[in-house]
Amino acid sequence: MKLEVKNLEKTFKVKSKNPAGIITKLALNDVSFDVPEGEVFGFIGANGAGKSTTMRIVMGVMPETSGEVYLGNECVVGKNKVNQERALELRRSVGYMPAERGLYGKMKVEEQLIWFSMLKGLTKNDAQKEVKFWLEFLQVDEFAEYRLEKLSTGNAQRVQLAAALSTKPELLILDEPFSGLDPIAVKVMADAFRESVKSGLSILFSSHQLELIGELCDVVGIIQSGKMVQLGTPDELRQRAGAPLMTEVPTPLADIFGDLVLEEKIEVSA
Amino acid sequence: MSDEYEAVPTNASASVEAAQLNGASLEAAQSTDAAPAKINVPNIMEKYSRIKVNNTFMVAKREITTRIHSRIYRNSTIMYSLIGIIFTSLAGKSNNSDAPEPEVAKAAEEAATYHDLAFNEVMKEHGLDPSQILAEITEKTNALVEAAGATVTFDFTKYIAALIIAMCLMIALTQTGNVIAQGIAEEKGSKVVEILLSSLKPVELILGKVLGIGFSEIMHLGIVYVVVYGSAMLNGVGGGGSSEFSFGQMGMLAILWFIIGYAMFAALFAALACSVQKADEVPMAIAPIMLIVCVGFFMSVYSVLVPNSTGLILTTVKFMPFFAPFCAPIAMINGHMTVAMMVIALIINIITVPITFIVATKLYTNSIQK
Repeated sequence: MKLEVKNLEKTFKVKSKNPAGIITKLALNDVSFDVPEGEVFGFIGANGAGKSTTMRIVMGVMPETSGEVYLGNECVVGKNKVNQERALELRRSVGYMPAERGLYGKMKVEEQLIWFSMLKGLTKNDAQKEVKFWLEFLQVDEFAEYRLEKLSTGNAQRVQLAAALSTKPELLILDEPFSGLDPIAVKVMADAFRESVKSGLSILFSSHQLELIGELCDVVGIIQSGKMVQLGTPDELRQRAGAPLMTEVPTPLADIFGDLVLEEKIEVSA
Repeated sequence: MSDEYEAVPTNASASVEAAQLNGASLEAAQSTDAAPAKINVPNIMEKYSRIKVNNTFMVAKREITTRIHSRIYRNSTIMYSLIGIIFTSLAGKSNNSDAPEPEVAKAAEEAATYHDLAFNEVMKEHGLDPSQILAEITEKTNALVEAAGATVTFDFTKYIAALIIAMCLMIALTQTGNVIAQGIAEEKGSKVVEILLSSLKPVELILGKVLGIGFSEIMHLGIVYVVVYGSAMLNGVGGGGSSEFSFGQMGMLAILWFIIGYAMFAALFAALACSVQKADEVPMAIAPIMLIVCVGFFMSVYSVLVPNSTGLILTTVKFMPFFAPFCAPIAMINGHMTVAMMVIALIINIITVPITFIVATKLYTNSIQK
């Protein structure tokens, strides 16, 4: 499913001691991008740059200040949005993984993944099949009967990804899926990404692991202080930063990240 | 439904369905094919209401299974049942031994004696005028009773039964309220709610939670009730009670009012719990409701002691939403409320339930989206 974000803006009101009493913080400033079907979009940005805020607005758990979000070709956020039932129906085909992780600690792994899948509209049989497949793929099937709270952080995170994938999504929105994972887990998860993109899934994810982003993503967006400062394929970004292109080993994005977000070099691409 | 559409693709209902799926407005579809589309509007409504019921049912089912499998639930069911069994068997023991007669029997005996005395006296004085005699008998009885002290008008069994019922109601309500509040706060803290609200409406989520937790709590109370009542019967104290109500009826009355009280408070617990950021702030957040619950409890106990009060608070409190669940059953058991009054109180309180629900859902949605 195609995701389109158009001119998204979000302001927060923060109470302060200054005479006015309230200061308005601009969290998102005219953010636009789209994730076409079957593509992977990598979201990079410093802490508090607005990555999670964008994702939350797309998922409808946070109201926007202005701007629009389209899922498929239907507006789910903005002035012309479809009714609540339709928006929920559209969002049911989106697999979402919040940064703080969102599963029930006291429920058994398999049981709860099946529950979430069924909540997203799968039949019981389908849900069982999907959950089994993804738990095996992410190598956490041995914990199927464990309560989630008994699992280690990394394993819980694999389960979390399985939860997002086993809902048969057409679009995945993942907030820092790789944070705090061991290298093997990262590899397994990256494989899961590649596997699912083959079947036409679109993915939007944020990460601080730039080498992974450079490797996995078709398009990369760099967001800084709520503004999209860079948008393009990893190669385009390298070009803009003046890094050599035709080398055997592509320049890691981490090396050019500083150059890309420096004020002088900002050239906002549409 | 979808099979039907596939079978008859030219059917107007299919066009409306398709229009809906394409995100086009329903009105547009209706204007092109006004008459048949109108008939099919309920179909769409039905479709959405079915989804809603499914979601609510799924949330409720999850709540019930998690709650029943939790150790606290099992342990407290066993604990309450055990306490009930111990109390009833102790009561049975003391009944069988030559313990002093219960207050109520003593009072009844006293009343009968005075009544007979008065009757004889009046008969001697007047001869044969039954109505007048009866009237004067009553008057004299009252006078004598008053002279002997007012023990007859105070039914101790009823009072104790009322006290126990009010206490059980309070414990059950605060307990379920806490479960709801904790659950909501945990969902918010762990961000499960972000996943949930991207597939269902807030009202479905709250309704499902309230129904699920409510069902498991009623089951819990039901088990304790059956065990304790059974044990009371075995120990020979189950048949007791006051002249109007047996203990069994009192229990039923309490469970009825628990359901209404729960429905009224539950959504509010959810709304308040949602305002916190962490689960350990929940007790502070729900303190206002706890205060209402406590006030309701003390009101119910107090109103039994002052049955003939004409004060505004004590007369209205039996009907007032949020207080009636405590005060009404107790007033009923003590005979301060007629069946008609009870029905009025029930109607007032049942009407309040959807109102609190709507307000709570609004509050919930607002604080979740912050």
